[in-house]
Amino acid sequence: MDNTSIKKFPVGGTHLPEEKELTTHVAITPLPVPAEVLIPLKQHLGASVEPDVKVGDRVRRGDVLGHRIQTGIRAIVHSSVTGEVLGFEDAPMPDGSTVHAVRIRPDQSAQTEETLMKPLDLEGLSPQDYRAAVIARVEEAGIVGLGGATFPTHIKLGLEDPVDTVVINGAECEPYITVDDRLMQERADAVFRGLEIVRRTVGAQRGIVACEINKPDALRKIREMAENFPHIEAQALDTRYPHGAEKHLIKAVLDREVPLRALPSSVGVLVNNVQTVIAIAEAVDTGRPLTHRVVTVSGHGVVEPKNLLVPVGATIGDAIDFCGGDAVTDPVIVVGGPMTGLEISNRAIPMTKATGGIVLLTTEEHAGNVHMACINCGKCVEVCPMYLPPSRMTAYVNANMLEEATNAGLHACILCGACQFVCPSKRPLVEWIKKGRSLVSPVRR
Amino acid sequence: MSTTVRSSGPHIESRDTVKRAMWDVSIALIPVIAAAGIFFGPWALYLIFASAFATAIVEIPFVWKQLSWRNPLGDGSAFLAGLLFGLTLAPGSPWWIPIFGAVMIVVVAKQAFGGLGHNFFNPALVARAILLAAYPGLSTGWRVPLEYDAVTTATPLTGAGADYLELFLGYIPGSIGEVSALALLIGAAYLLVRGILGWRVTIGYLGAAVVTALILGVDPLFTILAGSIMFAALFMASDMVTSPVARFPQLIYGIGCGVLTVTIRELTILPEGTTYAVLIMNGLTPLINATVVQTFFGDVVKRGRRFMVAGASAAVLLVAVGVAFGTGALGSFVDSFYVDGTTRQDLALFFPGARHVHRYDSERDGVRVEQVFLNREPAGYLVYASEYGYKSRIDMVLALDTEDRIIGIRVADHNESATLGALVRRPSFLNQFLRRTTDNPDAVVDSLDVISGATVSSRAVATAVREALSFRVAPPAPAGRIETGEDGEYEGTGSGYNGRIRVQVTVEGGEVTAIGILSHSESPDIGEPALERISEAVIDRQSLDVDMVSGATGTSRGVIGAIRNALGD
Repeated sequence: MDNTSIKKFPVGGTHLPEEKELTTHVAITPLPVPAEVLIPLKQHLGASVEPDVKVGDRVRRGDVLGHRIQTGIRAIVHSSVTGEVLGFEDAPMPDGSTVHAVRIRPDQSAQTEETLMKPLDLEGLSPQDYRAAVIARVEEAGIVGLGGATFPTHIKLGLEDPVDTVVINGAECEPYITVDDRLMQERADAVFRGLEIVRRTVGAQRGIVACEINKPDALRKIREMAENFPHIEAQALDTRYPHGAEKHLIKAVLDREVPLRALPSSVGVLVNNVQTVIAIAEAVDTGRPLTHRVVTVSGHGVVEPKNLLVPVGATIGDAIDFCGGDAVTDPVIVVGGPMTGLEISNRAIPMTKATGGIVLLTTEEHAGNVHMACINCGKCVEVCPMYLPPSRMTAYVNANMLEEATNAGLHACILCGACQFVCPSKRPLVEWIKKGRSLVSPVRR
Repeated sequence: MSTTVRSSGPHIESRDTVKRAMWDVSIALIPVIAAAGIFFGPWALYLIFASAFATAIVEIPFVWKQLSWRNPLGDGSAFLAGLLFGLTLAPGSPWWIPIFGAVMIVVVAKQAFGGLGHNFFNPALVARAILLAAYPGLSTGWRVPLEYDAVTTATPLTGAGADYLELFLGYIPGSIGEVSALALLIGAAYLLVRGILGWRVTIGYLGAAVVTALILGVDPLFTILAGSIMFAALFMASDMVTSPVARFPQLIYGIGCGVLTVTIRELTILPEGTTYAVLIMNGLTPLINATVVQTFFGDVVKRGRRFMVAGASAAVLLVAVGVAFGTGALGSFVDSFYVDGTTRQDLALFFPGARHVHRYDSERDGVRVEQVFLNREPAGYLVYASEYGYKSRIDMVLALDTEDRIIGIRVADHNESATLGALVRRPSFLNQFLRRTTDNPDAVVDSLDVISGATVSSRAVATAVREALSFRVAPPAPAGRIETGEDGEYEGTGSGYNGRIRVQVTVEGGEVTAIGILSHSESPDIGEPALERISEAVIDRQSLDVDMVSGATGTSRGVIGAIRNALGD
């Protein structure tokens, strides 16, 4: 299908420094299996699973480490390596919390050993059976949203709302990160295969792969691929932050506005990340569960920026060391993208299904910690993709006027940070919004 | 300044800083400063830079911690405020004004509110308002462009004529920074490129000024080119700190500035309205910010409701305005302000200090005379007269002293062509009427120096002056019975209140038997009835000496003139 239009969401947003050149042409390389891995039993939005293994057990890559929960939603956790269970401990997480985790010592000589599920043969199945089979397989494979939200994918696929369009989110609007960029270049076939599976699972007529124009190679590749798929289109997006935010992606691509507090399915859309649909394609066609993910290690603070295929449970330090280590003294380590990621100092934090990027910022490019008075320039309002007034909202929070702050949109904010990025007074608006929310939430949300 | 510990994003920040924004605006003022230097000479440059540096210096104690030898001007906001204040000054202002302004800007307008970002009112304009109130005389230190020492008392807004090109380039008397629209626009282009022009404010301001000018019957292009509207719209009203933050509120604020500026200019005693207009809107900004709120992304229900309410309101408003226009109510409403406003403005202009006027009986229709009293003693007269010029009526105001000598004259209103007809506003033309007396009104017309290219307008002014000077003398004895020629139908034209009136007069048996109005531009509510009444009266009395229709003298005269013209008089 010939579609050369470039779309964008209509109001708000900003152009960020892209910094993708550091890794856009660097092929994905596997991170060597480290001496030990620490695999958290909660790598998804929901509750922690209880371990199925005990100390001393030998596990193979792909074996289930935990699947039972008390209450809530879950995603099954598999071992990313073949080796021996050393014990259980609390793993530190980037947000400062800890999560119950399994420590495993890999057997370096046996890493080719792998437990796979039986590939699914979906041909000839009725729509109902197709749907049930795929959703069951996605759950068994422990697949979660790999864009960073880590919502269990089988729940998303199982929603009852009718869906007419499946959108693959390849916007990747955070600076430095090139995970989806590289995957679209290297594994476009798996992206399209996964999209076809999802499209047929939810019964949608149309699939769209959306990609910002600052990734020309990926865009060319998906445009080529789309010609072979009658139900799938490639859609170019202008480079504007935050195009990767689900609701703004839908607004840009389909001009449909998802109501506040509603899911995309309420407007007949399902959005999946590039890597998520690749994981679905692998789980269905080769029976491989989700145990590895691609992580971009980049920034001017690391010697050799790379895109790595990492086993979950390897530490952030492992990834940085493999990329040559620090290029400057005391770089600021950000897990995730520089806009919404978290700053960490502990390199022993394990990577999980949620880890999309590790960015080492130099002190010069890192945001300072001195702010001035608001000069009412209105730039924050100008760029807010949710049409909120961040300056006024945070003024209310700082004056402890939580009622007013809530009315001004405290809970509608998606914490994208565009306001804070453009603020000429360098005010920590996101910090204050989070503070306001934490003050409100005990009372009401 | 405060510090924060950051753990969540964003971990990167744009290069925009407050300091950069302030200096960008200062840089954008370079063309304006250059124009000021060219037109008004070194003293203007002294006033500008003395203001800027004085303000920066006065602010030093307040921002001591932020300053260093490498960064002596801090965030640049004080320097910029001083610069803007300097540009609002009259070129003939005395040396100490910059220092006065600097203290007002820093102490009263800025630091008293808590410093940068906390002030409600534009500091430069606060200082200017204080200056205007405290030293009203200083606002008349105007200079003729390029003749650095030549003093003039008039700007285009107070009667000095100028054509569009002069207004655009800035070859006009006025405040140092306001005169050259061209220089201001060059600066604005720079701000636009740098992404810091509050263009919604500017567009709202200029757009509303044009529309308000049209409603009040003023030349819209003249309105935005003369005086300080352009300067205010680009550099004063769009000041970030004191204008609203969101898109639509910025537009509302700009529109408010535009409407208020032109309203103040045209309907009050003040010759210029930007200072107070912008300050008033500054004061309303927090209210606009808090009440005009955009619906959130995804709040589709609320947005739909709003669209319906907005649509319905717009429809109601449109109907109301339509009705007001249709019935002429709006026009008379505006006129009712205008007449009084004109008197107050003229009092201030020609009889400073006088507060009382009393209507004086005029022997001439269409000439209004107000006797002016100063401290209960008669001080002179204000005489209002008007005459039809090339394409519009020209309203004249004359100030007479107690000996009936013209001591002041100005064109109150006209709609003549802006390039030629408008030249009658120039002092070089109007000054010829000074010191004329009521003794010999006809001499005014007989010895008139006309402006070449604007003969009709010039003559109309002289005729109006003659009429005005004749206010003590009753008009010549009326003509008697019409002398008609042969039977037949005759056509003639005359000048009515709004334009030409064409009539057809039917003569039968030596009498006028019918008068038909072929075309006219008179108003349907006042003019048209007058046309009919006069026609009937002429047929009735077979005389052109009929009573004027009160309230429609212009129309009455016009149709009588047309009949006279038809009858070959």
